[in-house]
Amino acid sequence: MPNDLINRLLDGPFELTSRPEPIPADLRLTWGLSLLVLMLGRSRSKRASLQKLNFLAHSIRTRESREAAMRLYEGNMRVSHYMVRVEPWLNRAIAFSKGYGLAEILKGRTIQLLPLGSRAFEHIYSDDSVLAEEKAFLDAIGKWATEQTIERVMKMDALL
Amino acid sequence: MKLRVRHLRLRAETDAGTFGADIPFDLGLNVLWADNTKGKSTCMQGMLYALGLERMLSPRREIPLTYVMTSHLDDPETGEKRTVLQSSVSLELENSANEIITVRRNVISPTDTRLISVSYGAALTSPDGKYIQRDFFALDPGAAQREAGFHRMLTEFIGWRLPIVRKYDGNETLLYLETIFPLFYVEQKQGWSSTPAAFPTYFQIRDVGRRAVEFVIGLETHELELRRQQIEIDLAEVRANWGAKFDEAQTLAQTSETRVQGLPKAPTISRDEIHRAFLLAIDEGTWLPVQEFLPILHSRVTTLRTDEIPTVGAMSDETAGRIAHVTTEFAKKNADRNSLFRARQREIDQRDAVERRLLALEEDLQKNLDAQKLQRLGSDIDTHSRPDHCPTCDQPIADSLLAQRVGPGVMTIDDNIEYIRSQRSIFSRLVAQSNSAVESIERELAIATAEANRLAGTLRALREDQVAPASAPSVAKLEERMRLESRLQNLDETYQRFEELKESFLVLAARYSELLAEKEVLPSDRLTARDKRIVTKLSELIREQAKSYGFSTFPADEIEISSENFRPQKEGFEIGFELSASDAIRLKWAYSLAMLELGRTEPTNHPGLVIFDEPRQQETAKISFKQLLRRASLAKESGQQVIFATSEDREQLAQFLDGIDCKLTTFEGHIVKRIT
Repeated sequence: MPNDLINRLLDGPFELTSRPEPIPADLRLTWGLSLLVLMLGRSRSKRASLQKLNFLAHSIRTRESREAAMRLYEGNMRVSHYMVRVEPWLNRAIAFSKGYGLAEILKGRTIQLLPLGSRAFEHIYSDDSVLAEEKAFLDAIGKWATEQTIERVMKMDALL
Repeated sequence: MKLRVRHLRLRAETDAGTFGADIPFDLGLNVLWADNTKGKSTCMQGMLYALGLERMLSPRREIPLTYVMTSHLDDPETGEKRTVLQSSVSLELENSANEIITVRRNVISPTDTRLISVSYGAALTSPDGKYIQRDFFALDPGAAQREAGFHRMLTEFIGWRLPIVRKYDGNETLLYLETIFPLFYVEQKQGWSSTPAAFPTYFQIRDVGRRAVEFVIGLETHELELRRQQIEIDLAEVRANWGAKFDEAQTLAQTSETRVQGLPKAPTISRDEIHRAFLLAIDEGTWLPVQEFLPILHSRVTTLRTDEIPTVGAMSDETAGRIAHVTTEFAKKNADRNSLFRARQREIDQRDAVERRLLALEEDLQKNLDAQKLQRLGSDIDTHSRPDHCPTCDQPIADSLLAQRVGPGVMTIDDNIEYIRSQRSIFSRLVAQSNSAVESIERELAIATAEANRLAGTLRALREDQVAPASAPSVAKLEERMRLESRLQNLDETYQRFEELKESFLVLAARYSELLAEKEVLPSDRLTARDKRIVTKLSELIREQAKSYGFSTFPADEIEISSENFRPQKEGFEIGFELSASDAIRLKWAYSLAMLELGRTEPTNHPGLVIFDEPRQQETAKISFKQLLRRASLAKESGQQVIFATSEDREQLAQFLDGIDCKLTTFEGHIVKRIT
């Protein structure tokens, strides 16, 4: 809007102040980091490949995505129908987790929890009042979602 | 009700090793002696701190401990100044069920100091045991009520059922522990300034002192409060039942093509209002009260029954005219139904969209609450996941996993939660509106459909008449007769059923009015006979002690306890400035121990524990202090506990304690000493 028009419309000077914006809670640093720690802590040897983390991060995030992953797990959905999307927040969470000393990145492919991260995991996992749905989901598909299984899902191989 | 302190432990980690203190406590009288400024108050206030009760002393959330626990200490051996890197206070407690817990709260720590860890066992006196541990939080709003709140846990541990009290802003809240503990824990400065206690007022609780004493000495007014709550629950039940019956009436109306009129949606106590409620039925486009329509319908049916059925031939002219008329009517009705169908579908789509949004909001809210808890409570994780600084370059960052950018910041989680809650309340209201709109459309639709069916039936019968032999009886007339007969029967049944429902409403109304009446007559503040007896007994115990401590401003027999605010008074006037300083202390001793002693014979809520930080004996005569110690030592027989911390002259103290059953713990020099 041209300046003179604004001045004609308003009878006094004005200014705009930007206000803090709401963001979805799953984009919160603490939430993302905690979920990452939880996913790693529930993986074998407390480590997971980027591929597996991307699969889990996508599957665990919302009720619908969890239900879809459960259908896949129960054999009620074809692998080719299951779309894994790359969650951009995951890479940032991994970077922060390295910065905070919660995890380390091995050969650029595998993420491994460090002792601090393991302690954080114990804390989060033992507190029933947080991340309840997410924990239940990991407990349910944990044994099934191995690196090999996820490799097959990503390659759209039949699971059986 | 019992709370017993078994052991207190202070720990301060410095670069030169661990310092600390361990103080075991027994039943009965415990006297803790150390010289002035050697850490007595740190120990005493450490107990408060461990219990998350520091706001009892001041509304500020500052740690009520000295620099030994909060910043630095002087090594008692070398005299060197050592910085405290980490410190904590632990307290082992026992309740009346002989359950033991150990609470531990950090003072200097990278983790949140609002966090209190609870081990379910004697972690200090039997450190080898394996105890389940759980974290609770203190100081936050909700610490008293939410499940993860430490004060809620402590309340349950002591076995208290806290009363709901009113605040100045008209809201209600649980009586906070911070307002109850001043009655057992007398802090060395403010604690002695008033009797019965220096209650914190910034919680904005009305008559806070009265409520606290009332609760501790177990008056029935407290029970009355609970009774009041029960009435509220019963009232809610009546409202729910009323709602269910109301829905039943609506369904009845819907299935019989009638409308309910004048029936109140929420409970009423007026029988007339219920009697006045009625059903409307439609008669050729006009709505009539069912009780008026029934006789009309009845006479029509009678007429049709008595009249002979005319033949098709006799009716042929009329039949042609009626077919034209009914066809038009039928088309109109169908058009109405179509637009109602579309309106209903629109509303349902709208509602579904809003419901999906609500589900998403619920999920986001849960995640936000999780994020808030994780941020607040994480013991280990919190050290490093402070969400406002970059771990690498230490610059401030936004609490977000989106790309960091310049511009408006990210809302704090607390604000975000409020934001989602307000959205949720708007959307919930929208769903409720949509639901009621759908219901009302469906009611209209049911009626329109029934009308259309009726017209279709008539039309079919008229058409049959057109092709039938002239001598045959008119099917249209027969159809009309049968239809009216069935309508009459249906409406009659509906009417009966509605009248029965009105009976149920009358029962509910009676219950509602009963509950309202009961609520009305509940005495708001009056003491019951039993309460009065307890207050009298408390007064007697106070007088008896005041006398033995040498109270002398006026005859101790004249001390009474006001049944209004439970403050000490004389001849109806509050005792104030006229008291000598020493008598004010004596009165305070007497009041505190009297409440303790009252708990031996009466079912009070007193936890059987009294703590005096410096009983101010210097301000009274020696004989008084000796008497106080003697009286306090009686606590042991009743399984109660009294803890005094004092820096009285040691020889003097030994004389005072001569012949008195007590556990004396003395400290040479600083209480906090090197441990490793």
